Amino acid sequence: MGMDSSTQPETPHTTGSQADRMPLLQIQELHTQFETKQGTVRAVDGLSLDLYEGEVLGLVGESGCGKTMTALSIMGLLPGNGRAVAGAINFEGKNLLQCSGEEMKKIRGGKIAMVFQEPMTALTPTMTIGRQISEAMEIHLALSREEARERALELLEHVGIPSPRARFDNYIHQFSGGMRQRVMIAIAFSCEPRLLLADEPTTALDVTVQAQILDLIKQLAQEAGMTALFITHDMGIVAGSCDRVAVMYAGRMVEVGPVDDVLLNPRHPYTQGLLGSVPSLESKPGDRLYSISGLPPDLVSLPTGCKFWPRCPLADERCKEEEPLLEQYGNSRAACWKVMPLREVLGE
Amino acid sequence: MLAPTVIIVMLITFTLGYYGPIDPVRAVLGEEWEDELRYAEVKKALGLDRPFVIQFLDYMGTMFGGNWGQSLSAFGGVASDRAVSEGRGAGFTGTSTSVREMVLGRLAISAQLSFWALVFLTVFAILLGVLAAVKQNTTIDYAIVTSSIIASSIPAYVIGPVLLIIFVLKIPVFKTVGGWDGMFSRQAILPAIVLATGPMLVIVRQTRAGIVEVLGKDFVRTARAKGLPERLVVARHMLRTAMIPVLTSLGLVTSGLLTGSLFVEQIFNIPGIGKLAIQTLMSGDHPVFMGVVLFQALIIVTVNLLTDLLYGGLDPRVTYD
Amino acid sequence: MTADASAQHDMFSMPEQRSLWQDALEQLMRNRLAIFGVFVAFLLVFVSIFGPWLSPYDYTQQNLFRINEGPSADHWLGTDGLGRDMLTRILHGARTAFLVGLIVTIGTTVLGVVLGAAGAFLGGWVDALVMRLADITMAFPDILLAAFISVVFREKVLEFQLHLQEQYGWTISEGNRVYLDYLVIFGSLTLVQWYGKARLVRGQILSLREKEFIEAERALGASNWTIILSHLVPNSLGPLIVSITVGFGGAMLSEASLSFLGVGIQPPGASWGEMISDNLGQWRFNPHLVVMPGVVLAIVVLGFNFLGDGLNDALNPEQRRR
Repeated sequence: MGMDSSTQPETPHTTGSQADRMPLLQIQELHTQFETKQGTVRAVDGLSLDLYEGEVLGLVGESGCGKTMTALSIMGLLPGNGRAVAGAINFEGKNLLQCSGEEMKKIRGGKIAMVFQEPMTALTPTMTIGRQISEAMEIHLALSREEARERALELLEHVGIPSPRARFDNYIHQFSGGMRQRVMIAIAFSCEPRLLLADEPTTALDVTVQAQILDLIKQLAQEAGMTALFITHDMGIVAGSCDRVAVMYAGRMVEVGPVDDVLLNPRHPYTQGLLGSVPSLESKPGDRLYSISGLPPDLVSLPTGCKFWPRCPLADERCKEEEPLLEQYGNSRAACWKVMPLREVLGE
Repeated sequence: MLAPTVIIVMLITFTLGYYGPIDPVRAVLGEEWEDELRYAEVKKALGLDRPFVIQFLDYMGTMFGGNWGQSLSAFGGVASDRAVSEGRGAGFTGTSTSVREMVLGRLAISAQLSFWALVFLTVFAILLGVLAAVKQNTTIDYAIVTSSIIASSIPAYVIGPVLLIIFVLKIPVFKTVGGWDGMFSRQAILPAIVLATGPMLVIVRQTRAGIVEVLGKDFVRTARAKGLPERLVVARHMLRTAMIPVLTSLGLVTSGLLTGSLFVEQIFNIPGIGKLAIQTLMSGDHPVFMGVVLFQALIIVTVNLLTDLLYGGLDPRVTYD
Repeated sequence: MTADASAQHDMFSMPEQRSLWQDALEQLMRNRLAIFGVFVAFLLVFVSIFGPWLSPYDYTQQNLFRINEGPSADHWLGTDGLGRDMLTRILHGARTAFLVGLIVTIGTTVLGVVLGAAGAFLGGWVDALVMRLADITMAFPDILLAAFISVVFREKVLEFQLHLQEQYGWTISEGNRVYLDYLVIFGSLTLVQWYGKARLVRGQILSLREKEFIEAERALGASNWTIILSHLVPNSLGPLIVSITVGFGGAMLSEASLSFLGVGIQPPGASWGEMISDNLGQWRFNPHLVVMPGVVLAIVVLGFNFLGDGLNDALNPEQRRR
C-alpha cells in the first residue's frame, strides 16, 4: 500500500496470463488542453492507462470528464484548437502523439477504429451507406472497388442489416437509429482494426435497441480477438460488457480495476456515487439512492487537492490541500484519502 | 409553371414593343416614311395594320412555331443598311435576317465567353470560398470576403476599362483587344475575367457558407476517423453537402452573366447577344430585340427549374422528405 | 421550445427597444468598412447639395480649345472631349446619382411594402397575384427590361411634355430636361426592382404572424393595429433598413448602367455612367477620363454595400453571414 503507481506501468489483475503481456495501448501522463477566452481548459489532465490485448476496458464518468477527449486524443482528431500537449500514447511501438499525418492516416480506421455516439449526424447524408463502408477498405486493405463492395455486403449482413444488396445504395436518412449504428459498426470493423474505441455507442438509441447493439459489438470484437475501449456513463453497460473499468473525474483517473472488484467493492466515493445512483436488485423500496450532489468542476480553474472534494461527503482539510495518488487496494487501485467500503458511506 | 411564365413574358415584351418608341415602319423606311403609299405598303408587309390581339396571337404562333420571325432588316430600306453597317446577323457574316439565326448565332459567342467566365469562377471563386471557410474569422477570411465584395460591386464598365489600361497600356500583356476571334484566342481572356467578377461574390459567399456548414459536422470526423486522405474527405464527404448552397445561387449567377455580357460585349466590342440587344434596342429592330429578351428570360427560367432538379439530385433527402 | 424562448425574449426585450438600437449602433461603429460607408454616404449627400457651388464652371460649358486635357491648376481633373471640366461633371454626376437613387429607393420601398403587406395580410388571390408578378419580373434580365421600359417610357414622357407645351405653353428649359431623364429612370427602375422588398416584407410578416408571441398577444386581446405597430413594424424594420441601404447603392448603379448603355441620362446631362461611355473611346489616349468617373462610381457603390453589410450584421445578429 502507498505505492506511487501513477508513473509506473499499470498491471492488470483480471487473469494471470494478461500480467505477462505488453499492453497494446499505453497512455502515459496524457494532458489534452483547449485554449479558450476564459483560459486553458484541461480536458485530460495527466491520465495514464494501459489497454491489454483482447480485453474490453470500460471508461466511465459523467459527461465532460474527459472520456471522449481521451479517445479523440488517441485518434488524433481533437476538435478546434485542442492539443495533446504532454505525455505519450504508445501503440505498436510508436508514440501516436509524435506520428506524422501520413502515419496517423494508416492507423486511423486501419489499426484503430472508432464508433461515434450520434449515428444521426456521424454518417454523411449525401453518400450511400455502401460507399461509406467500402471506401475505407479500398484505402487500408488495398481492395478494388468491386472487392470492397463484396466485403461491404458481407459486413452489412454480418451486422444484421436485412437484404444488404437492396440497402447498399440507400442513404442514411432511410435508416432507423439502430440500423444507422449497425452501419457505423460495419465501418469500424471493416478493416479489422486491432483496437476499437466505442464512444457511448448506445446512448442515442432506444433502450431495446441498446442491448442488441452492445451484444453485436461484443460478439464481433470477440470473433476478431479485438481490444476495445468502451466509453460510457452507464455502469450497467460496464457490468455487462467489460473486463476492466477505469473511472475518470475532471480529466484524471480516480479508480481502476477488474469490473467485479470495482463494482462490488468501489473504493472511491465518486465511483460509489456513480454506482449508488443505479438501483440494484438488492435495494429495497424506500432505500435512499446515494447520488452525487453539485456539478463537475470548471476545467479552467480546478480545485486544489483532490478534485472531487467540493462534492465529496467525506472530504476533510487534507483532501482540500493534498492531491491523492492512485494506490493499490486489493485488485484495484484508487486515488482517495478516504478509501472505505460502500456500506460505511451509506451509513448502514 | 414554365409555359404561363413564358406567355406572360411574351405579352409584356410584345406590349412594350407595340407601344414602343420607334415606329417599325419608320425604322425600315428612314426618311422615306412621309410617302404615304410606301408607308401603307410596308405597314401591311409588317402586318402592323391588324389589331393588337391578332398581332400578339400571330407573334406567339411564330415564337412557338420555332420560327422566331424576321428582323426588320429583311424588309430592306434603312433598317437593312443599318444592320449591315453594324455587322448584325448570325455569327460574323451579318447576312441573315432570321431572328432565330441571329439570336442563336450571337448566343453561341456569348456562351463561349460565359464558359471561360465560369471556368475562372470555378477555379478562383470556389477555391477562395473554401479557403475563407477553412480560415474562418481570420484576417484571410475577411480579406477574401471583402475583396470579393469589391470585385462584384464594381460594374463591368469600370473594371473593364481599368483592366484594359493596366494590361494593355501599363504592362503590355495583350496587344490586340476588342472584337472576337474564337474562344481560344487571347482576346477572350480579359473579357472573360471581367465577366466573371460580377457573380464572384455570390459564389465565394455560398461556397464559404456551405463549407462552414459542413466543417464542424460529425460525419466529417467519421470520415477522418476512417483514415481517408484529406482530399477524399473534402471531395466525397464535404463538397456535395457544401455545394448545395452554391447550387441554389445558379440562377443568380446566370442572370449575372447575362447582365454582365451587356456591358462586357459593349466594352470589348464582342458580337454577342448583349451587343445585339443594345444595337437592336437603339435601332428599333424590335422583332430581334424581343427575341433576345424572351430568350434570356427563357434561359433564366430554365436554369431555375434545372436548379430545383439538381438540388434533388445532390441532396438525397429532398425526394423523400 | 425555441419558439417559446424567442417569444419570451421578444416580449421581455420590447420595453428596451432603445437599447436594442443602441446595441446595433455600437456594433456598427466597430465595423471599419461600415464607417467608410457612412462617410461615403454623408459625402455624397453633401456633394449633391453643394456640388454645383464648389466649382467655378458650368457642367455643360464647353471649351473646344482645351479638350481631353489632363489634370491642371484650373481643371483639377482635366477636361473631356468637348472641353468640359471633368470635376464639375463628376460633382453634377453625384447629384444625379443621389437624386435618382433616392427617388428610385422611395418608389421601390413604397411599392414593395404596399404590395408585400397587401399580399401577406389579404392573402388569397391578391397574394397569388403579387407573387406571380414578382416571379415574372424576376424572370427578366433586369437591366435589359429596364432599358426597354425606359426607351418606351422616354417616348411617352416626351410626347406628354410636347402636349403640355402645345396645350398650355409650358416649356422646359434645356437645363431642366435632365429631370425628365430622372422621371424616366425612376419609372423603369421602380417597375423592375420592387419585387425584392415586396418578397422581404411579405416573408417577414408571414413568419412573424406564425410566431407564438403574436398569438399570445392576440389571445390577450390586442388589436390588429397594436400588433402591427408594436411587433410587426419593429421586427421587420431591421431587414428592411438593410434592403433599403443595399437597394440605394443598387439603384445608383442601375442609373449608371442605363446611362452607360445610352438609355438613361442623355447628354449633356451629367451621369457617371454616361461619362464613362462618352469617354470610353479615349481609354488608350486619356485613360483618366474613363478612370475618374469609374473610380468615383465604384467608391460610392462599395460604400453603400459595406454599409448594408455592416447594418445587416448589426441589425440581424441571428443571421450573420460571417
